[in-house]
Amino acid sequence: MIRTHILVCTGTGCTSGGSLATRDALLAELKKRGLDNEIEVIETGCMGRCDLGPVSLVHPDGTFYKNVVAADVPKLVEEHFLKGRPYTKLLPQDPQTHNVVATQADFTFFNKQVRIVRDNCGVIDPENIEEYIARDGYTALGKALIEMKPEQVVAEIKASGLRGRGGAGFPTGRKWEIMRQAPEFPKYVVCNADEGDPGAFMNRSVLEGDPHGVLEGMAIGAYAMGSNRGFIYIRAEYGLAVKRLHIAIEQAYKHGLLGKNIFETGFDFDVEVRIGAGAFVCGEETALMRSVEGRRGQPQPRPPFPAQRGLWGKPTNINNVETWATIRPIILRGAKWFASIGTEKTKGTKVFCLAGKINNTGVAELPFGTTLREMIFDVGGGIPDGKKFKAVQTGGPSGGVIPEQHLDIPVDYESLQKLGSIMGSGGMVVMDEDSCMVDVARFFMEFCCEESCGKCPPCRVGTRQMLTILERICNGQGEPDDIRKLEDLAAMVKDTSLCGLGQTAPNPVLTTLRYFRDEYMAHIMEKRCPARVCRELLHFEIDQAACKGCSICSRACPVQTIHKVDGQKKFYITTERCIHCGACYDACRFDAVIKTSPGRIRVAKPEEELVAGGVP
Amino acid sequence: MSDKPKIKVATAWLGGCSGCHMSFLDLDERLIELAKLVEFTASPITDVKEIPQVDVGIVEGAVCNDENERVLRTMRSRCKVLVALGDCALTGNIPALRNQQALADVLERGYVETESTQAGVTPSAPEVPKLLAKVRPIQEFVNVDAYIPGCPPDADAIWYAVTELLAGRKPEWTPANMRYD
Amino acid sequence: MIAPKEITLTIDGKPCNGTQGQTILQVAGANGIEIPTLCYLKHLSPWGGCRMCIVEIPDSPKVVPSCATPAADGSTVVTNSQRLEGLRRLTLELLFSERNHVCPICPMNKGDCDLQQQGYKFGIDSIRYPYLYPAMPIDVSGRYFGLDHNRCILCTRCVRACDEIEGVHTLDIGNRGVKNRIVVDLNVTFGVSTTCTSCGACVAACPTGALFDKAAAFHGPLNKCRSVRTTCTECPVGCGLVVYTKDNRVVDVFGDVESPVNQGHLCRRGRYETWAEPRQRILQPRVRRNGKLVPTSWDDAVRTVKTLMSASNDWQNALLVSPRVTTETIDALHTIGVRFDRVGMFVADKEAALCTTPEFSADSMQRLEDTDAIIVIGANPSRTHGVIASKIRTAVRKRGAKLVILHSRRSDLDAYADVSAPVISLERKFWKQIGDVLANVKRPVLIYGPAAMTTVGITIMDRLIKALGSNGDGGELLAAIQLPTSTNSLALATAGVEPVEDVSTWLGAQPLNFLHIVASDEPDGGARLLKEPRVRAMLEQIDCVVLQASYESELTEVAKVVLPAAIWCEKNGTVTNFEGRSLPVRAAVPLHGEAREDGAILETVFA
Repeated sequence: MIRTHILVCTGTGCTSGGSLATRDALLAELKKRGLDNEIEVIETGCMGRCDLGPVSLVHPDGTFYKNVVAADVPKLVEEHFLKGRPYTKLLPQDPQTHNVVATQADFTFFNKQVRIVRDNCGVIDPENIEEYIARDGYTALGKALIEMKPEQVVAEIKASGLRGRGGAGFPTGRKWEIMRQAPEFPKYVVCNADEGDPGAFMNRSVLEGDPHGVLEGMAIGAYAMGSNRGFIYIRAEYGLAVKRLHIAIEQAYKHGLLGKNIFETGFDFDVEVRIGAGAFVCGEETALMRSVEGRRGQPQPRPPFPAQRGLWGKPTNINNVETWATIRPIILRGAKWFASIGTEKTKGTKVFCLAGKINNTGVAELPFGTTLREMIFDVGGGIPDGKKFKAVQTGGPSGGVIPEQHLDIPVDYESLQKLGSIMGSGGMVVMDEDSCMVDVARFFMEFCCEESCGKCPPCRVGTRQMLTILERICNGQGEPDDIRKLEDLAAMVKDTSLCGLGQTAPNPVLTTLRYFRDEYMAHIMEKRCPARVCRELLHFEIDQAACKGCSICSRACPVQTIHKVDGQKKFYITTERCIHCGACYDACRFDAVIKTSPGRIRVAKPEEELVAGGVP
Repeated sequence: MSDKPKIKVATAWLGGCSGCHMSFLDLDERLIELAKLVEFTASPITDVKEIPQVDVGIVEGAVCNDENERVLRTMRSRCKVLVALGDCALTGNIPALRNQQALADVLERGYVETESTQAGVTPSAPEVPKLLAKVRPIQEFVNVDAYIPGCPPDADAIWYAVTELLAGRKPEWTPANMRYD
Repeated sequence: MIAPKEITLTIDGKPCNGTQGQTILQVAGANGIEIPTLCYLKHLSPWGGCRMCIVEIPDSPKVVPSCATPAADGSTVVTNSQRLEGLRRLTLELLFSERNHVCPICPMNKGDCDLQQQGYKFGIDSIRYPYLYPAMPIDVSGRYFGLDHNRCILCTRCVRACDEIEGVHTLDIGNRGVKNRIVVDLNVTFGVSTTCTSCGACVAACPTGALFDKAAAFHGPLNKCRSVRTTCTECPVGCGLVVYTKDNRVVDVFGDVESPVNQGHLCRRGRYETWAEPRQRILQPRVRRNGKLVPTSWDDAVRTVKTLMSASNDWQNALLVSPRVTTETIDALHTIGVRFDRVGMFVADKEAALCTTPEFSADSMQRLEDTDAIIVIGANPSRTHGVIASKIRTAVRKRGAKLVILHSRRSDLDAYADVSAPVISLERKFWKQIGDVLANVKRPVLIYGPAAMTTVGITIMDRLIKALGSNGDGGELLAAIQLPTSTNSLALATAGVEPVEDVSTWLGAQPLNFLHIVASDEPDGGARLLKEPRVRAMLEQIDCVVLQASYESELTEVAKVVLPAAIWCEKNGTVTNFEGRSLPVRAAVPLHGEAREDGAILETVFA
């Protein structure tokens, strides 16, 4: 008789933290204590708090344990399952109140969430179709196939107000309708799982936690649009998700939920997984299609749109993982219910990834209309170490930074766009006062430059030239004219680039220039980095009063430029030879190394490279 | 001859073949006309080295070494209008071809490896200007007010640019009067 | 067939007519509105990459590439505005800053560099952004052309030409972003490429000096060259050529885009071999004196031949001509033929049988454009008729046409074939396969070459004609295309000249006293006559052999008199291609040395 379940997260994050060993230890310990008939261990997908991993959840009491490594298991079993009290050592703390949080329900990270897409994630065993079916799995497909005409399915999705979760927010129902009306056959449906934004893992968490939800959504979509063949394009880096997808597809075929004559309705649907090789641009739909066809992944001009001429020249519908995963709840619970969540223009929920300088790092599903402040300070638990919030980058490298004064806007596609950023995949990278915004812009531009496919000059060369300018500003070689050059280029790259990658690549530059122009000016005019990040503009010295003469800084210095002056106990930095690496600053245990960016008028030495550039 | 003060012009020859200056001399009889309006100060043509305060500075050649850079910056600080003459000044052109190789390899090839250098050594005397890591056009160092493209620009192009500048206009290049070679 | 719908749109305020399916660029072009382009090339699929042809359309905040955007009926398009001008200008600046675009030392500084032209057009006199100066390699390992990555703007015109016109897809792009580079095969060099056919389509498509013809490099602006439109006489396809000359030398050869035969495409033989290969010309008449050939004047040479020929009335005289001669030379043969006991043409291997039933297949090139199945028997187009091979490849690769090959030599086409048999055979297993492959074809084309003219070959063709002729629902009958190897052999055969394949038998039929050989501009100088070892001895038995040829060869060793003949670019006249088209051959350069045209020589000597 099973009285309790302990759910062990086996998402990618927790697995790398050792959750598989935890699982084995739990199984062994429960067996040893004779509890294996009462307590069942279940592997689940991502629960959303990857930074606390390996995490576990006990049902039905809802106790949420963090950092459950194998060594803690005997004690945990003894405390929780024998003595019947929570094992406090492994309970998380609220980052702001520092109170111990006993259950998942008490955790602000969880209790603000509205789980539609991730309803099953962290709850069921993703490798077991029975568990999915037990939670109404494939009921929506049955309902669509048996009770609804394809047009009705399209109408339902239209009525729900669902918008594509891939970033652009195009109304899904409208997209399906265009595809349905396309006169050519065969038609294809594609699931875009080429999630490439740094710091974004919402698609991965959904695929790892609930792969059947995506398959069911695709089958419903295929039925509605008159397609019989689907592809899931997923990047090779997502090994676990690929594995679970394969298992899910195999199980669905075995149960007759994919393949020929599904539910005896005469509807056939086949799904194939296609693995991408990790090019960011392959997330762009036209590039994705070329990659599925086995060609070089480069975008094509639109029109013609995929619904007109897609895979192998046939009508094709491409939706993001999250969009597909949202179909099932809409069919099951109705468009009206779905449309009641969210804002006027954007309905439903969105899975966000909280990352960067934030206490609660992880995946959170929140209704549209939640403010950035709620996301960062309530769900995210605020900024660590009492630092000040500076900005949040939404939408990955193609998005923009949003400063403190706009934190109270309700998040949806339009509101973010108005601020110069985008929804994108839903990534949220939080930056605190220690982040240099010029450096942030440089970092994201470097990413776009690396990932540009090179088809059109604005993106290929434009991003490279913007990076060159940003690099020289960070290196203290910026010129007053550089800001105008950057703005000209950014506008041109945005307007002229062929695909979304180039069109959005200047966003980080444009938004940092819009909200943090003073930081650019400090770098260019005063050769000063206010956040003390840009290495070339730093100055290190040792506070003689604080120095204990322990010599750790001297030993950390890679260029041996920290020495004692004869006969004295304390250390000094020979500034001329310092390479500003900060090793001493990090090494000092007494806060005796002072990092400043004093600013100076820099005279370029003739023998040095005056302008960074050139391709290695 | 009018009493109007003559416009003072200085020209400089950086990293280039001097072909642009040669082309300047190809103005032929137009030089006489020009001489009525302008006064040449420092220039490879007059062999005056010290650049005084002038109205127009004309620079041929790319910036290859620290001396080029010093001359260029001096010129910029002493002239009101700076004109880049020829493709080397505009684009780096042929001198910039060495940018594809590492500087050390270039010197090695030039002074040591060749058939004509026996037991060659790379000059290292302090008075020899130091080569920059990369050859660059002049607008990457200073603001340039007008450009005369061509390798070299032919005399007509130079004449057009000079007359436009004397009339206080920036030369506008069209397919009819423009060449990159 | 329904005529495409007429559409009207307003471009730059001007009402413009077009048809449904045309792009904005096409409609604008047809209505006299020029939009700047770089990656666009007629005959190639639109790429939309260079962003020069961008235009503004209403209701779209974004600009769209006019080369790839379908023109919409009733829409308004702006092709020229201050904003567009600025964007295009900046695009050009970025392209100039990306790699090395230094014109003075560009091998293709010929006035036809699209990038240079656009630079002039937009008056780009300086670049505001730093030059990146990447160090890119230069691949000069190819026989006829080189690839300088430093000058590449990544427009992919070469990639598309290679894929869509020649059909081999040797070229593609490697890497990402600014590290993008054109790659040959799996990133090898042209010199070791196993797929490159050296057709030069990529070079012709290249808008800059990235791909350049080695022999054409540094010859100065093409627009200062003389250009002549003529016809390639290397094979019976008869491709149109545009020959550029300077100082009476050929400096470049391109395909004639207006030619109905090849629409601008050429093969290695036509584009390069004729002028970029070192060959030793015969430029002066020579007469054998005391066992040695010594230079002499035309008068002396002609006198010598005439004297020798009239030495005795009993002499058996014969004339042996190359099938490369022009139709006008064939006419001349009619008048002078009476002076010879026998007149023959020395055709290629196995070609004699083909020439006994000469047939011209009208519009064959057109048929190859829309066929859905191609059967090749006894021909090796990728070796001998490159442009036909390209049509076959593209038919298979782009339109999914079926391909059946029966021949005795392997070629790269085998890789594209549904059935490829190394022998022309009636084996049952082939028939089964061929039957399956050709089961539902509607517009099949049969190409048969000299090697098909065997008993087995003819039986196979008869069977195919029977099978495919009755194929399906009133589908068209099989088009049978006769593809000879030699340029004008069908015209000569039609004119009644006896095809000679087995030279020794022909020579041995009756002892000869006088033989005049017209080798014309055969690349080997006619030396293939000596392929059979005993021919040389037989020629030596003849009292007098006169050789009329353009190039030096072993054949001169047996000649009493050697007369210099004109080459392809010095001739005037016509040739008849395998479709039966009479195509003009025009002299691009004056006769070199003392060379004379074949017909003129024959008339002077034998009139």
